[in-house]
Amino acid sequence: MRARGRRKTSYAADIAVIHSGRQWLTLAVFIGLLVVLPLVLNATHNLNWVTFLNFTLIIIIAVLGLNVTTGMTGQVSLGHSAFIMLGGYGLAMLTLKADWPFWAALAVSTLVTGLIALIVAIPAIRLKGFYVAVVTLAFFYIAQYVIRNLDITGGTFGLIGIPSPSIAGMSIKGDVRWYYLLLALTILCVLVSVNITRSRLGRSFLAVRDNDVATAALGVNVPLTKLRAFFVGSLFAALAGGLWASYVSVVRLDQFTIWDSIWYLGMIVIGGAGSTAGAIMGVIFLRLISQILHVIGTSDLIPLSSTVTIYSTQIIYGLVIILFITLKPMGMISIWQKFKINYKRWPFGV
Amino acid sequence: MDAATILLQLVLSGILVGGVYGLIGMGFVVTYRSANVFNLAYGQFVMFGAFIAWSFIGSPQEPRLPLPIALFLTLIAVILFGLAVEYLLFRRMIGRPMHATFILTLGIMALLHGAAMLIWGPGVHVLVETVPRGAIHLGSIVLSQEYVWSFFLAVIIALALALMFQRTRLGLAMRAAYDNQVAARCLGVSARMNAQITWAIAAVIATLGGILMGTVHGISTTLGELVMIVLAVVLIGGLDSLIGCVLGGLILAIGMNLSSYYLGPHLPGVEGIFSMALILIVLLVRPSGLMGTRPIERV
Amino acid sequence: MLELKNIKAVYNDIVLALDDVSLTLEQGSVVVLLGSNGSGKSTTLKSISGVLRIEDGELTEGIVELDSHRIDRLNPEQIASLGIRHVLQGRSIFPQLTTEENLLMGAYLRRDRPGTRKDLEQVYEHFPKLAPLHDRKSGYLSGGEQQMLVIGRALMSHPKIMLLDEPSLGLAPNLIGDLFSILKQIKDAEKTSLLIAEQNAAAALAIADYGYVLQSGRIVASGKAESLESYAKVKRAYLGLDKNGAFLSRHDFRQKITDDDTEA
Repeated sequence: MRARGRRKTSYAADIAVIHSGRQWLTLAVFIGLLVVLPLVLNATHNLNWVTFLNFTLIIIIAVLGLNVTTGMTGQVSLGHSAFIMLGGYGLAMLTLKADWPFWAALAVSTLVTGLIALIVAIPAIRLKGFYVAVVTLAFFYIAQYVIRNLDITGGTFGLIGIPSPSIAGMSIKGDVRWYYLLLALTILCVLVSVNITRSRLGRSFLAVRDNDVATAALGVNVPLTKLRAFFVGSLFAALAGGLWASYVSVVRLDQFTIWDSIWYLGMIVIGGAGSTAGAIMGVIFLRLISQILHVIGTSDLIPLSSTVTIYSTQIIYGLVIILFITLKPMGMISIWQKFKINYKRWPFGV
Repeated sequence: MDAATILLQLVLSGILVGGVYGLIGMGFVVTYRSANVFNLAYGQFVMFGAFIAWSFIGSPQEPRLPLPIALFLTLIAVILFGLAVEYLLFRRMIGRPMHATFILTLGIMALLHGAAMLIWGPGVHVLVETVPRGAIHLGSIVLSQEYVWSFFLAVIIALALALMFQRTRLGLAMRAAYDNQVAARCLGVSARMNAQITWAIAAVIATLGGILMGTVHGISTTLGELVMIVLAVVLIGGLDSLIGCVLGGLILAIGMNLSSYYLGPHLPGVEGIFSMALILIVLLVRPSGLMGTRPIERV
Repeated sequence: MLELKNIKAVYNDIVLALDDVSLTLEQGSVVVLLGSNGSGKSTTLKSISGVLRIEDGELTEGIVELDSHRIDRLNPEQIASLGIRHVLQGRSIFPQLTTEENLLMGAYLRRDRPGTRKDLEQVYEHFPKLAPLHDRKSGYLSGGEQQMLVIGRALMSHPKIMLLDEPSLGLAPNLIGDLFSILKQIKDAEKTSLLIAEQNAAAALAIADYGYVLQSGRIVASGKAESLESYAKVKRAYLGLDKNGAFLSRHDFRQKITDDDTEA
């Protein structure tokens, strides 16, 4: 009988993302499936599913950022929606008002949002727990107020006609092309996120989340670590916001609500706080719920008005968050891991 | 009107509204103190309570039950609601990190908001005239009668609450448990009963506050957004102080009136984010608020 | 009669705090638990009062019986209602409450007002220093006054059994003597059984009937107070007692041995 399990003989091997050839294979197959997915959907005239996939990818990028701030470092932020909004508006203003090229505008609006996040974090880092949430919540409303009352942001009407990016002379137009761009960027962001957890920086994030005082005693600069977490988290958010704005070619205030901030937190909790894979699972889970409700609502079987769909979604999101927090606080990732262990040990598993 | 009269008018009407804000804030403080829950769903509690009251009392076109009976039934219903929230949700959160409980309240907030939208819709529901309406003239100052009534009712309820905490055995036990939970339990204070009473009180205060707000503005799901006002009130006053609530309510309401009148022409809608700005200033300058009790430590 | 039978206490599922501890507290008697820091004295008291369970600990083996009824599965508040008062270590007052409110909390489980008033007077008689401070926030009292306050608070309910966790901790030496003589008076007047955890062996043994010595969560010696007193003297070096009979921490103990060597 073959010995089960793999022995890891070094720390590098232990924290390696991919442990074996079989995992490489699984990954390649998975990415291959993701690549052909829109072609299949396209051929079956399910184009609105490609739109769904694109939004899901954008939200995955955003939530990976919140996973750094909240999931890894424990700073509960209700301002994530605001950072996404700033990224979107930044890109829109730079491309429309200053005629900047897309990629330069995206990079600058992302960085500027990061700097704004640092300023927001300054009152937040001195305080603990829900105070951080309150500060970021207040920031959300103040940012909305400012945007609503400025001319350059288009006030309540927002900005229309945001250009699409182009790569090597090819303009990214249409859902399928956007899909491949977003897929590539999402994979890049996932790689960054996974590598943060493996780095010194990521370990300091986790240490701050798990025990402030002990971490400080070990020589980690706790306030600085929290600042870094806000900075890194908001970079993801702003990137997602810029892509979102360009994808729908519009930014308006009502795209970025406080409810979204709550859903992003919920996605992290549902997935399993701090884990990259968990965050992705959380996003997909909640997105699927809303998509299924949407499909049911627009079908002939049980037609629902759009308001009923919206508020049923809200109820179900709320319920799912409540159920996970009370019954499965470690999230979906813990269920998956348990399943994996039991599968490996079968038939000896518990 | 001369400048002084305008100022007086703004301050007086601010005081009337601030009293109601203060009362509503007390419900938040009670659960923060006794259950250690920072309840962001509290605005939805206010909204839900007001709608339940409306369902029993009815609208002017369609009155349902006589006021005393309707109020009594409302109280029973929301006490049951508070107990259910404690029993089903917060009881499971004992010993869990505070941010987990916090995110739980976000889930409750979504659930209640969605449910209210489906049940009652987005429109404004007018309540049967519970207090006299119309204007009161004090010299050249004009105050609306329903504001005055709701202010005095809020003051009476707040006083009753304060008396409960200061003068009764139950209130004493609740204050003691906030100071030192383990010692209180060792003297026979039941932690479970304490939590149940806390949530029931919070639900009742939220409902009474919601009815008072509803008498003035009508009842709609936007009452849930009151949570932003409540946050400002309790953070200004100090999260664990009932007197701080009153103070916070007055400061906030007067400040909103003044900012709206004097800054409004230049910055439209500034009163909406006045509370946010105030929250940030308080947290930067004095995180424990004006009246928050910091633990007394001996050297 | 309170009985602990072979109890084993574990914190957070892993930290073994008590192992096979048995002890008996007869009605109206005074029993002391002796031992250094971390020997399990506090855990023993907590496993009686139920505080153990709300501090992430549990009894994995053994039972606790009060008059032949099992009480080891009850909450602290339920155990309190059986007439057991745990005076927690470190003067656990309600700092924002006044002295009198603190004392009234002691009578929380009683409903008779005149009786409560009378007991209040009686506590002020036992601790005359507290009477003029009745309106003061207890957080502002001195350490000694706070210790009087928590003992007075426990008395307000006429407990059958009082569990006292290091009542002498942080008190000035002259106050320690006063404290134990007051405890003796209380015991004689009220027929209250006392279970006292103490590091100050000499002072505690002076009023005790019986004693147990704990070390690393096990009972290493027990006996009548007088015999334990001589035992303590003999085992001074072994148990790490200083000249006043107080148990030493390991560090002080090493120091002590070196000092003794140099003296010799």
